[in-house]
Amino acid sequence: MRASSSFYKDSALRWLGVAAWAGMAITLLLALFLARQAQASMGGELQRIFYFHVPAAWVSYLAFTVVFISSIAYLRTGARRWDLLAHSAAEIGVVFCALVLITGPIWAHPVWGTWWQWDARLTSTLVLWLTYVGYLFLRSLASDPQRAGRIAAVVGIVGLVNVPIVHFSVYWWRTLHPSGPTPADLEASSGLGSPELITFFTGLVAFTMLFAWLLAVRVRVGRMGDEVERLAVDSIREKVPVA
Amino acid sequence: MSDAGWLVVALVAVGAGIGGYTSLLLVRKRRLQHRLTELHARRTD
Repeated sequence: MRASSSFYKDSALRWLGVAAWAGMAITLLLALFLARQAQASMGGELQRIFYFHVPAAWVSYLAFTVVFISSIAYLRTGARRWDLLAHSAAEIGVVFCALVLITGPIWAHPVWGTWWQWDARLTSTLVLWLTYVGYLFLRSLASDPQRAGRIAAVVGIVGLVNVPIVHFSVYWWRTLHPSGPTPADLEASSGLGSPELITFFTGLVAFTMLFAWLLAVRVRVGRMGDEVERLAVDSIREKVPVA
Repeated sequence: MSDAGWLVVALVAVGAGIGGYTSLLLVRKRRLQHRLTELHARRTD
């Protein structure tokens, strides 16, 4: 029974991976060939970065929300599985947030005439990234994993406070960064037509699937690491005679 | 550099970031799998 459940889990994970990577390839093709070139004021050809930049930002929000929920669960239960889930999601969130911070300035340079502006959106995103880089450093440097897990969980909970600040910064303060569309009237408020919206939502779905797949693989790797550690400790204990 | 050139740079950065992280995970997984097999074999000896 257990073996068949593991088989279905393996098979589901494999198919999720195939679907996620196929989705990424389709997003790339749609971004290059279906989406029309934007106005020069929005970067022209370069605006196609948007189809990767925004979904990457979405995945980082999602990842840091998973960190937040699992950190609360870990502090309440002390169960290793929550700590592992939080750690895994933080690692993925940092990777995708880094992609946001790299692709943004590449778009901004020709459009704004500068790589970086210390405005609310850019600065709060950098702070968000640094918070979770700190979270990962904290975990890697601590000698007591359980204590590190508890301290990291507090950082993971407090760190999420910045996510709404990042998201709403373009509405709360005057920033150079373009504001997002309003869902009620997507086409008019975003300035995007149907081909562009299809590309955008395909990217959003593909990035979300990729996040789910990466998270599942990362958790599995973490479990294997725990198992290796447990077996290694056991084998040392078996060799050393008890006095 | 032209807009198309910068677009390629951005896409390569995204591919390198996601692809690099995925490869890292899969390599780590393979190494751990190997180590697990080794440890299990040692226990049954």
